[in-house]
Amino acid sequence: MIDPNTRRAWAYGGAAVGGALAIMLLPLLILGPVQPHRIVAIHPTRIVLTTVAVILAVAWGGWFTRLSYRHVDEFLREGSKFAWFWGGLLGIGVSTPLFAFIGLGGPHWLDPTQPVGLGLFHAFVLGYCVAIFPQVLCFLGVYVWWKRTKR
Amino acid sequence: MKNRLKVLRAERDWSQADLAQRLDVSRQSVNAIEVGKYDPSLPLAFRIARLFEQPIETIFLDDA
Repeated sequence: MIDPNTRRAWAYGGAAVGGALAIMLLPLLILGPVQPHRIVAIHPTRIVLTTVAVILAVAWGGWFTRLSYRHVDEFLREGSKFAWFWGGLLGIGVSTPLFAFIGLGGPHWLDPTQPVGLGLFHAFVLGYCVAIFPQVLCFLGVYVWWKRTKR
Repeated sequence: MKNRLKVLRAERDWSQADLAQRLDVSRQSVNAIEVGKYDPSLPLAFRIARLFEQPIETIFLDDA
């Protein structure tokens, strides 16, 4: 049987993920799906609306994640911290050789029909850095803040 | 770290869920502490000691 705190934590966690996904899908409902042949020139309205929707989704998700975390007991919190730290490091470790392989054109080498080129390389590097660097910088920022508050 | 949580719980005929409810933690927490896979924080150790009305050092036994 699940205890009330864990049930509440799961409910808030579900609200965080479900609500955030729903908010992120709003621009698709309002503007319709992106036409693949027009993907090189997406209308600024869609860019702004989608970015705003994602910001709102992240805020929603963050708020409900905080509520969920408050109902999780210390044992499960420790598990979450352990998994985020070591799982995150493992993820970065796994992604690094993949980054090198894909960035250098590995998919094209395996399948010559796959596109290759400098533009693609730049887009891939930018995408990878956008995913990794904010996590690493925020980790360092929170760690420094934590140490300062514990002095 | 070893502990006598399982014995103390059994003496009172409480299930893990009963103890978890009294301590306001999950049943997984109680199980992990009992089998020695997780050492509780000091605040939780004090709550456990208060609940069983025993000093902490008689419930949690130092391995050293």
